[in-house]
This record gives sequence, structure tokens and C-alpha cells, in this order.
Amino acid sequence: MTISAEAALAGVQAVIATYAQNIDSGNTDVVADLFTEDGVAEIEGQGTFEGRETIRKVYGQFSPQAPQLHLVGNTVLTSAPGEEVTATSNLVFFARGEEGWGVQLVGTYEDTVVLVDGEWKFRKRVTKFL
Amino acid sequence: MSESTQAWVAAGVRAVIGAHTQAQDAGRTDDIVALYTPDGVLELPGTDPVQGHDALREAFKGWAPTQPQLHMVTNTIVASDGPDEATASSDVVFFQRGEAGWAPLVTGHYEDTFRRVDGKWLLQRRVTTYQV
Repeated sequence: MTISAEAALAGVQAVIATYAQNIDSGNTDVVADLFTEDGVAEIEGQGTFEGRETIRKVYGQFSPQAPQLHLVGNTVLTSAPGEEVTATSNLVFFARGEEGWGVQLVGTYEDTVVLVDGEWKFRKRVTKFL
Repeated sequence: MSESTQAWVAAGVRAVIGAHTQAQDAGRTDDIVALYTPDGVLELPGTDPVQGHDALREAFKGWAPTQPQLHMVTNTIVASDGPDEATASSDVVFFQRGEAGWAPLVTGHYEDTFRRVDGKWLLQRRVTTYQV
């Protein structure tokens, strides 16, 4: 199956946005299911979590404690389009504290996304902070 | 133009906008310049337009990051004027990390004109406006 650059970009953007929206609303199961069964989440300063079930368990502890937003953009595909693509995006993480909304973290995502049974999934997501 | 052509143009144009942003925040000046046509122009408020690769390289070197920064570009609207021409209008928020942590310092807007040269989308003109 031939995958065009625009189809790959649309698929990657959809999985990235689904991750952001669901992590901010505490839907850990939806987030975990965005990874392949052997998917890896590597988060700078937190650790490397291997396997969808490990990710489900660990992400359960990251549930939002206060209103928060992962704003993700500037997504660029860094490989040729295909059933496995890599992409780099930027992240701004906002949280609401006692003094209102503030920018807590800024970083990058380096993603490896694969097409599994017609759905785009993270094979690997590396989160780094600036 | 067909819907599939529009999607293809939009993906190509968005890739250039994203690559420009990431290169700028990483201080990769040559990578930024390579995204412009040889006669590419950058317009900014309060200064003469910057035109051509040499002038662009010089300008972006002068704006290289001195501390962690991020341009987040969003709300992009792409219009295509044919298979080899497109325009895009985007909003941008510029974040910088200072002693008190990260803060949004500037919001702005890009009006971009793209041309497809040898199969690659390139910026022919970027008009930047901003509010400090």
C-alpha cells in the first residue's frame, strides 16, 4: 500500500492530537492504546517505559491534578512517507496554578509512528525538554 | 483544483513552516535559508525587507537563540493558487525561558507566499507582524 506524505502527516497529527487531548483529560486507557503493544515511551527525567501495559500503569500516575493543556505543533515528518514514519513536534505545557495559567514546560516530541491494521500508533515517543 | 491536490499542497506548505520554526529555534541558520527561494524576502515591522539568501543568512545569524526559545506556529490556513503556488496565514507565539521560567513574550502573525521549485515548496515571501 502506497502512503502519500499528506496521508502520513494527517495520520501522525491525529495520533499526536489524540494523545494530547486524552492525557489532559486523564483518559489513560486511550493514551495507552495509542501505543503499539511493544511501544516505548521515553520521557526525559522520568524514565523509559516499555510496552503498552507498562505505559498504562505509569501514565495512570500522571493524571492531571489541576487544569492543564499540552499544546503541540510545528510537526515535521523526518522520514519518507510509508507505513512507518518519524516526526518531530514541539510542545508547550500549560498548567493552571494559584496565580493563573502559566507555561510549565517546553519541549519536543520525537515520534516513530506505524500503521497497524489501518490505525496509526506510536512505536516510540521520546519527550525531551528545552 | 481537486481536494486531493489541495491536501497535497497544504501538507507540503505546512512541512516548510514547521521546518523553518524548528531550525530557527535550534539556531540552524543554513537550514532556514534553504527553505527560501534564491530571491526570497522576509518583511518585518520597522526595518527594510531582507532579500536573498546571503541577506537572510546574515539576519538569522543575528537572531540566533541566546537562551531556550520556541516559536509555536498554529491556526495555519493554506490557500493554493495552482499546483506550484500557495499562500498560508498563521499565528505564532514566541516563548522564551528567562530567570523566572518560561513565558510567552510575543504574539504575531505570518503571511507566507510559497512557490514550488523542482518539486520542493519554498518560501518566496514571509511577512511577519507582531505584538510585544
